[in-house]
Amino acid sequence: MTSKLPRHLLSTLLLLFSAVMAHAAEPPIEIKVVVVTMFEIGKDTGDTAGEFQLWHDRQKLDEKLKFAHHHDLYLNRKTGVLGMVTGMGTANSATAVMALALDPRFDLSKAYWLVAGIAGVDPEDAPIGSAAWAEYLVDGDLAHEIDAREIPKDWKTGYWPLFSAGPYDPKRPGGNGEVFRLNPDLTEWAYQLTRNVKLKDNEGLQKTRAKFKDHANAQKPPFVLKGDNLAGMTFWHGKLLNEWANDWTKFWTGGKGNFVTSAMEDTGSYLSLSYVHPTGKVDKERMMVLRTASNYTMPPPGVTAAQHMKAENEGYSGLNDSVEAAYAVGSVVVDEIVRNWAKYRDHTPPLKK
Amino acid sequence: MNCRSLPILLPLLGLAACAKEPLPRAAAPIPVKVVVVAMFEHGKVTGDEAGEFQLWVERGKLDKSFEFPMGEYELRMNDAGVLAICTGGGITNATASIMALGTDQRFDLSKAYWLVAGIAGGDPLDVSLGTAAWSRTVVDGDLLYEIDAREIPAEWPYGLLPLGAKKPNDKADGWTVDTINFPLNGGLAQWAYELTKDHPVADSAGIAEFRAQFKGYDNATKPPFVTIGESLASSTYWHGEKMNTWANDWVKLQSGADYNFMMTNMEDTGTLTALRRLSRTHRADLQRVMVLRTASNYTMPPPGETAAWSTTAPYPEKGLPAIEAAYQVGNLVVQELIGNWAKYEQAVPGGT
Repeated sequence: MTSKLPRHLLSTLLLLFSAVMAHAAEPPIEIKVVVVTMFEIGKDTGDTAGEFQLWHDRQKLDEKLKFAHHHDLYLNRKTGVLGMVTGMGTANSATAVMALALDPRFDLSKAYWLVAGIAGVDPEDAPIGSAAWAEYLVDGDLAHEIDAREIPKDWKTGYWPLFSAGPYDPKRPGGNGEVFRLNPDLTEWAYQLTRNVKLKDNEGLQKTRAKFKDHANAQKPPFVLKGDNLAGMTFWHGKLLNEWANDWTKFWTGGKGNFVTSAMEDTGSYLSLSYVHPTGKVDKERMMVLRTASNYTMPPPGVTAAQHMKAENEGYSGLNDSVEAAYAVGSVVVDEIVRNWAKYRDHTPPLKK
Repeated sequence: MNCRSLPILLPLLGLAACAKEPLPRAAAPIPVKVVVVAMFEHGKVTGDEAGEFQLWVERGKLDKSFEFPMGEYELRMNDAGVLAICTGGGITNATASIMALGTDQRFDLSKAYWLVAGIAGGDPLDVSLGTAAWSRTVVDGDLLYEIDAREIPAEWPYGLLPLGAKKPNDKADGWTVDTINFPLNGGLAQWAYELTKDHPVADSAGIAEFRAQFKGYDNATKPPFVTIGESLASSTYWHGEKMNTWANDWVKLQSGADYNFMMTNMEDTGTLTALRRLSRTHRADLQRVMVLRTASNYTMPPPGETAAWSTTAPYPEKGLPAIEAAYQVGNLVVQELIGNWAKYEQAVPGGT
């Protein structure tokens, strides 16, 4: 460092300055868990529940803190659980998570991040009402695309990776944010902790899932599983794009991932955490993604994609059940972390014996 | 960073800027007049093949470097108040980077003009290679419902429809989101256009030869020019005649019949999502945002070629004519703003 100021004067000033700063600012609030939800219907409490409302009501997130990004934040100061609603789509989730991660009111350096939201589900893997912990997040927008009616005869899809000349070149191009792997130990821990949570079943779910005659898993009662998330602002639907989603997830994860849930935000949320991670303000190894199935990503036999999408537009068949499932499963993890904070504060699970 | 140039009367600021530690928040923030937003760079920031960032750094003498661990590259600035950022490609990178810069306490961005200056795919119905277009609105091209086009009803033109809608080109009557259409300050866009419309954008043999293939497309075969036309942004890098039809329909559907899709790119709605949120805390002024896109390639193949080939064919002359045009046209505006800052600090040009 070169400066015209004498070195000792500099240090004195710096010390003085730090002291003044430390005194002036209120100490940041230590957050144990951030619950990341993406949308809410109507108000944050007292009406039809979107993703956020159950967390607000049941975790007693009563303290409203101004946040100029979509929704305000809600805190339970006693438990250190903070709830947010990011808005839909990766651009919204990236801005909201970035803004929170840099917010000087909070100490998020040890915070766990639980994304708890609804999703479309691949009928190949699970029925609506189910809950899936993701290890891989794959982006579904970052791609080349041409209309599928314009593709060469030997192509399966009109989607292919950026920086490549066609679908699924075995030499996978360098990443631009297409795939992220969450802390696999943490994901596994969350899954083990919740795998036996009994999820609600009802006649509505049964009726809907019975139609998926070609898919054994789609006809089971709701359950907790591990399954990867494909995130894209394009809300796709149908058999052909469902095939693409499976191939795409396999491709970007080197065959290790399995597409189970489709939603619109998680690669954006993770990207912002990974940007801030090097500053030490947040720890990206503490992020978990739980997605619960509100609808299927393709129609049952005999129904066209357009018809099915139109019907789902009237309201997801599994909206209420998926919102309940997200809370039922996610809150087990939140409660465990809060209850044993002394343990989880400095070490992410599974804890060394 | 050259700390010798820092005024001795601002010891705290000097200390902070020279230390490797994050800055104390209360240090006086540096006023910024113009933020230039570039999206990608090849290799290093200076001295090698130019991406969108390099010409601004080299020619604008943006010699001050600010560490920016949350971005792909450091931030660069000069004494005239011009700051440049390179966000990285795609909506999410742009969003996260602009949000990180916008909340950065080292800078006072409250009066800053934002100039997005980048290359794009140009609609051959409207523009030719090297052409520069000032956008009056920015529309998102990812936030849609989609069904594979081989699976759609016969009467649909394509498988892309608004979120919450029942068929293409229908306004949503179900749910939607508010991050699809971002109207910019139309007066400011017009002002920037008037200031730059007579700039002779350089033509060259390589782009002339390529554009000659677009027989029947009058605008695509002209030498490069400056125009007004809209930016459509999506992380999905689409291509082809059918999707080009969709792009034109989509921009009109979202922003109105007077708006015309011209330039496709992968970042602008992410940038605008972040700027809109920043404006709510007065960290950015949405009335001061300009989007300039220049055509490095066309959005569809020339007659007789396939979309599959054309999507990833090398850009004619590696896109350098567009990179050069983005700098030259954009810099006219930057120089005007910083040259008459007393005026423009107070009042946004082109206002009604």
